[in-house]
Amino acid sequence: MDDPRDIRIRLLRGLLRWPLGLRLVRALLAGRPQKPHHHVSADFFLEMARGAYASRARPVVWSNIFVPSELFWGLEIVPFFPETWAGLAASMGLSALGVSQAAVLGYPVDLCTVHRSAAGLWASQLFPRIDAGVATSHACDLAGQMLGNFAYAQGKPFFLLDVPQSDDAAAVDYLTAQLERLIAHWREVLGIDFDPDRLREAIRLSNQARALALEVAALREAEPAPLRGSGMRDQLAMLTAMFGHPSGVRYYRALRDYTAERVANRRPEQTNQKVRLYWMHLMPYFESDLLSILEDELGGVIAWEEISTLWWEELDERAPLRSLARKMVSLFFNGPIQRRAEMASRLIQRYHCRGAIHFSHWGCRQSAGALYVLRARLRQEGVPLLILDGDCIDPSNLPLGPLRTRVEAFMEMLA
Amino acid sequence: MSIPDNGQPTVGLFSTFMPRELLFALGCTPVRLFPTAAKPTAAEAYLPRNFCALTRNLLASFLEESLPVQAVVFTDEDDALRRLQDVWTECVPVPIWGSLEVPRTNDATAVGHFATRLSGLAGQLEQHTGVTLTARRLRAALALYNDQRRLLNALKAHWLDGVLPTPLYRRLRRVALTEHPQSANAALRTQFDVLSTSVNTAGLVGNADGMRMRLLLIAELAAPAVLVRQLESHGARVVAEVSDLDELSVSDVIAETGETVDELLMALAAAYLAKAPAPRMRAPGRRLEYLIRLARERMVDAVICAYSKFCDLPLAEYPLLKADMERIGIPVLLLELEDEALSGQQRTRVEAFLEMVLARG
Repeated sequence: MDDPRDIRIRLLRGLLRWPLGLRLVRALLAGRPQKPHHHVSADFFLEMARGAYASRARPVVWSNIFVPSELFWGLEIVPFFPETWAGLAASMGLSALGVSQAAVLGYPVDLCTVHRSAAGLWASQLFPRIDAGVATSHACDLAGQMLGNFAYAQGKPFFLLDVPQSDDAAAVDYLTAQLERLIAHWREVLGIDFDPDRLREAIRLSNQARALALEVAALREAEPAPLRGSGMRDQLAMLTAMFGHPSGVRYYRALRDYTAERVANRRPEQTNQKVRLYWMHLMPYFESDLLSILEDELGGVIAWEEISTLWWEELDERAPLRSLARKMVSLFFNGPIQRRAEMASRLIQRYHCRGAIHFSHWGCRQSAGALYVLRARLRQEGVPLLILDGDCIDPSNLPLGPLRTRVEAFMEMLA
Repeated sequence: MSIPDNGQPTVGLFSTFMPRELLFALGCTPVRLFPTAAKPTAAEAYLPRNFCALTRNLLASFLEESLPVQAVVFTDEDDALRRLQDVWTECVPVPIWGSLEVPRTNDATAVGHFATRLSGLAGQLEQHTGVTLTARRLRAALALYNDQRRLLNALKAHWLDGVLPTPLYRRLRRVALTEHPQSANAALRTQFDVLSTSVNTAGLVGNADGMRMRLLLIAELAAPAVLVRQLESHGARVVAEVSDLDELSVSDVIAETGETVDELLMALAAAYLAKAPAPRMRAPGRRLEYLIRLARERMVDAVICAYSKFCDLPLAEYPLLKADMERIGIPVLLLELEDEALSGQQRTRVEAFLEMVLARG
């Protein structure tokens, strides 16, 4: 299915843009047995997709995942995150299409497959319309460049939020001023109204979801671990899209209740639990045996995932933009690697992990670039780190045999 | 790199966004770091193999030999440089004297923020050098580097006229980046005087190579010398190089009129953010408009992108660049390089590309 003329791709394009198409998918999903929080997230993303693909009621802004979602919901803008949708497409078996079409556009194969796949999916007309683009400069160089590319290629305005590496007052001032300019820019190019009360409401909703997410994090300290780590691979999408929207509150309440019930009744999702682990960076978004080998065969327990970590302080609705600026600069991927390493140490202690695994997604320089420092830091604390080179988008770049051998050896060593 | 022993600490830099004037005013000799390692192998213990080749080569250079710098100052140029700074203290015995955040926009807010960061960097450097930043020292440094800019602009005019050969022009630009500014300026002035004399006595050569194929090179730090040699030995003529070595350096003279340190830092900040756009600014519209304007001004026949392998920002920009250039009839070749050398396959691709451009007429 790597030909954009394939009948299935044509059908998918039609389904996405047909006003009833996503409602139909929603109805079909509602009838399937799912965890309660998954119902909420499926509804949320389908509604977001409907707003982006099949409705012209609100402007659609393409964004990288680290632009605070509170801003979109507080301004009644529909965000579209190409990175998130590349992950979703991988889970639907569409990554070959994305990657092959990116090559046709001229993107070199050494670039991150998340961004390449997104470019290919866009070229295959599987992305919605764009009214404007926005990106932050931090955490990932490529995200900003690709968002800029998408906007430029479609003749749409693009705004870069330049996020400083440091998190001092000058950095927050600088970023707050940019957020003010971003809103003025959107008012001009998108014709939106800015209602400060609506933004404050988004901040309140974000704080409510945050409190519930922190409860989930506390519940996951339990032994045996209540949740299966591999089931949390979608958390980055939740953390970066749902906050500020009522669904965020519903989602984390459902997840909190679900987790609490598992803890109270000692009914862990994963029965074979031997060694608790801290998982760093992403996981494969497509079906792969790698995680079932680790969890079910070898008893590795992903007690916490780095990407599930809620990194920001409570937001202040009296100073919403300043709060959002602080949220951006405090991201653990921003700044020197020590920030990320210190967080890893804290979480490894908190979740009683005996080892850590870093999944080095192909082409992600910011994450894999300082593994030497991370490994040295964790070694000092007696925590071994296994580095798995793989790909979270492209199954052809995830060689299961060698990875299995490495995971088995690591688990034997820890046992 | 051979730095005269003038008692000033030599400080290595990784970016053209770092104002050398500031370091010089604080008693340092700022030099741009170029890789000296033939291969990046030595760096692979510290950085992944699929990491920007230029960055790995720079690290390998420090791991393989003792380069004549007493300290380095980092910028947050891109992910590669941020991660290099992270591993630096673990494996290189050259201290980091400071790091500078450089904005990616150039509006008034960004200029003000950059000036604040420059002031902060000055504070860090003062502790190492014992020199206090004053308006007088900063003005003197500005004057020195402005002299250098005037000389380089004059030499560029000779190069574009075909009077100054490309390899010599590039060597002089590298001298300007890597030597003490006073000795560099002396070398540039000598060359300028020689050229002026020869032009006056022999008459202007003019664009004697007007019929040769005209090329625009795009690279990060600098296009490899072997590539330039191959191109010119095949009858082509490099007429523009968009890299830190040339077009991405600040070429306009910076105002020296500020009364206070803060005013002068604002002038520096504005000038460094206003220079020709690099991919790190993530402003594809502005960057492509600049490249197309330059291609038209220099009457370019073809473009060669000589990028370091795994260097994300220029590689991700490439599809847009190629599409826009081809839209105006200018073909583009992409080379992804591991180091300064060209493989046999890459040489063949370059030859085939030149033949294709010639065949198009």
